[in-house]
Amino acid sequence: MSTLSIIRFSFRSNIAIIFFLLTIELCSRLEDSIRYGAPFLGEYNSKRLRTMSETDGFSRNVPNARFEKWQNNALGFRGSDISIQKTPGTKRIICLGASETYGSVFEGSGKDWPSQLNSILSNSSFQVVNASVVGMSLNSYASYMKKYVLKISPDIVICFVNPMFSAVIYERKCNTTPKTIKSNGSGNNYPLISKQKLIANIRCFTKLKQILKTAIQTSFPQLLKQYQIRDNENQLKEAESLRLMGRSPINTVSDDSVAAFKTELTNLVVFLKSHGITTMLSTYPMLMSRDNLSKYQEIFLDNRRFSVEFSEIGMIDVVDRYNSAISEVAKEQRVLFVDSNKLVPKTTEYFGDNVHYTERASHIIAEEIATQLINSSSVRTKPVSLKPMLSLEGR
Amino acid sequence: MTFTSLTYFIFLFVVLFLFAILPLQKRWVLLLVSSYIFYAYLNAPHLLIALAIVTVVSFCCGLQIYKVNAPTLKKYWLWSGIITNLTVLLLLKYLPFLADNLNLVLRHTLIAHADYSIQPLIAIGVSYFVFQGISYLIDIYLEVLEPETHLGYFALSMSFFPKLLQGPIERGENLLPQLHEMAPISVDNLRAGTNRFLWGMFKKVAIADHLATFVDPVYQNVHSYSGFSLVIATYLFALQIYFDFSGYTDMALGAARCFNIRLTQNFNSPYVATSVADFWRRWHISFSSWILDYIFKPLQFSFRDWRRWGTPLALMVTFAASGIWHGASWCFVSWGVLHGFYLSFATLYKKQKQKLCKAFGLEKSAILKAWQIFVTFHLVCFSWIFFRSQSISDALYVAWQPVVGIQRLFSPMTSRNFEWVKQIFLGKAPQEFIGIMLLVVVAAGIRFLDQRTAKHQDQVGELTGLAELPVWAKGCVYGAICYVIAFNGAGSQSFIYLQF
Repeated sequence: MSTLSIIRFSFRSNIAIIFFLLTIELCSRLEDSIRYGAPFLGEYNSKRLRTMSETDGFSRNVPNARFEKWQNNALGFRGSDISIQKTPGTKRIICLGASETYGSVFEGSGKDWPSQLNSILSNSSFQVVNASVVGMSLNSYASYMKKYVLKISPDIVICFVNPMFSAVIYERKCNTTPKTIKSNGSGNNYPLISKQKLIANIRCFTKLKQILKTAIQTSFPQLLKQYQIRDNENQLKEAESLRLMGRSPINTVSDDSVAAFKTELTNLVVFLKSHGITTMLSTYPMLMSRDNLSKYQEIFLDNRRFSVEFSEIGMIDVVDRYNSAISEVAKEQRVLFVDSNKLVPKTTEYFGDNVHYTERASHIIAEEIATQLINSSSVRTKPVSLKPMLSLEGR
Repeated sequence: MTFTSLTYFIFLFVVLFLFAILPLQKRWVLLLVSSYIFYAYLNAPHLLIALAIVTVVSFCCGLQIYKVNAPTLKKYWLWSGIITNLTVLLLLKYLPFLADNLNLVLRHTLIAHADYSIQPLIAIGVSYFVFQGISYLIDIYLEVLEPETHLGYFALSMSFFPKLLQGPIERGENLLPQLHEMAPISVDNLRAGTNRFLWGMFKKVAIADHLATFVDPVYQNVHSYSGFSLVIATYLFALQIYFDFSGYTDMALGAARCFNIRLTQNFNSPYVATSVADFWRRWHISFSSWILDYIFKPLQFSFRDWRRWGTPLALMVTFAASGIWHGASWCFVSWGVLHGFYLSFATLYKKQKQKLCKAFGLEKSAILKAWQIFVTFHLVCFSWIFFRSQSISDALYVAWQPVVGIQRLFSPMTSRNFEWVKQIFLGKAPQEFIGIMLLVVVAAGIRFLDQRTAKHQDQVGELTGLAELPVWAKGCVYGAICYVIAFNGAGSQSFIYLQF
């Protein structure tokens, strides 16, 4: 083979590869714009769904924004448009929470728990509104309610509160770090990796990564698990060095932190009551438990990156004690209560990651909430029957 | 290790690499070892034992049939081989079915609490290599083929991994000579093989798997659907099974082609067949030619004294056996019997049909051809109802519902609420339905262009036209195909014919 023919061959191969990649990128953008109305040239990721409001100090959903299966309505709530004025006889149920309520990648479209609750209650006079915002922590709930939710006259508010957010915020307040860490806009601060940011702009890379992950997970699950453990450990080390600066992660949450959380939650319930709103509190389900720590190591390491202040034992302690606090507040304030943490089995059949649910778990939660609502004398409007859900067998 | 898994791609790549660097005379060892590794990946040791038994028995019996001179001894060795092979098939595939039916009979007759239940075993690929073994023995007996004297090459012909799980059912005369004359890997073979493999994957992942998301919910719960939905689901299943099985076949042929081995073509545009007989010349060709040669022809000869009824009877028995081959269930048997009935009816009334066409001057008209294609397609679709249904009662419901509810079938069309549109889309978003139909049209267009550019029938599916495109256009086309396969697949679904 002469040098000339080698040069010719490599030139032709490079041209083919360039056009191959260009076509894939073009197809990705075309598909996104046809299926989801995505901008053909602009940036396209889940950040378009939320914005950090400088005046409010917390992030909220961008009205009418859409990303893949997620769509906000004109009022900035997930789902289809609703009128501000409710129809007479209708009782509005507001689902308030963070990503576990807004809906994640682990449920199919319309299978997040608020949507499933809506389906179950579709024969009744209830209207379910998913007003949750990804990354929202308890300290923003009341302000958010005041500014965006009260105007749609809610009758019932179901609160899911992520204990880790509150615990981490409390710890960060107590141990202010000199280094400023960029916010990713979700309201939850954790280090951003510039390489990921670059890749995110090339759409086919993001999709390819997901496909490869699924393919490797199916073919070589152990190999992927080992890689994820190593990768997450490295990222965790990086995050720990930024956040902790030599301190060790906490194993036991302080009593002050739990007390502060309890006070804040009580204030929220009192605030809701003062507006004549029936409140339902729920404990926060988390996959991580003392029994499965070694089983889902890669998942826990991944989740710990967002709360490096706590060790895995510390995270379990936070969730246990904060969940107890939620149940105590519900008792003290005599509000409706669902122990979702107890209801959802702690396996990956029910959890996509440490805190996001699969369709099965969402179904369990939605069904329990619906039962409680229907049985509660404080919210009953007219006799309703639970609409049977599609069979979940075989999923 | 399914053909669409990452494991298979890595496996294929490694085997190809080793094949390229190994000396020619050692390559059969590599292919044989890799084929057994491929089969072992199913994690069912009994399958390896079954394959080894069928291989050794067929090999030894083949040699004996050839060696002995006495016709009775020849017959003895032939039947010994056939019975052993069929016993393997029976034990692995049909015993649970037989036990279930025996239980049913006993419960309704003598013994109230009879229970001879047998847990079904994984039998992937068994019926394919058993049939190949039987055809090898019969071919030697009929002196069409000389026996293979090298156990290694024979074992490879039985277990060659691209065709091991779902065929094509290879004849010794096609595969064995190719295995003996393995040529080095060439760019042309690699290109043709890769193109065919990609084309098959496109059909399977981008089309068949998407169609399954429409069909499966309906056929898993037929009583929740009526009229239009059942009819649409049946049409979609007809497309799904074609794209699924022909997609698999293309992937098998493509993988084999990379090693410069040409397996038997299994499909030739079956839905443009002008009769059911023509359909069977175009659908699962390696299987239909097998049952024609080894079941139908001997039966037809045996029933020659039955005059006019001999051939129809032979057809009925052949296609009932074909149904049983597809699976141990009464649905498959009904499907086979239905095809037997179609063919028998066509045989009995062939002369009348010809006379009728002559009387109307329609003998070679395009209208007649279009009508024949239309009727054949619908007859085949009707038979697919039995093939896809989970029970006979489900099949009868699907077949009968649109007939009894004919008024309801068409009345939604006139209603203003466009309920009928929802029924067509089977509860899915309209854009999803339109999207998949567009892909079907694109696939038909590619197939049409490919058939025009292919110089030989064997090359159809190898997308030979791509070679003539400029290099940038090739990059774009491969990019588009890979995009649709990788990013637009409906998730991995099992191949339909894997169960047979």
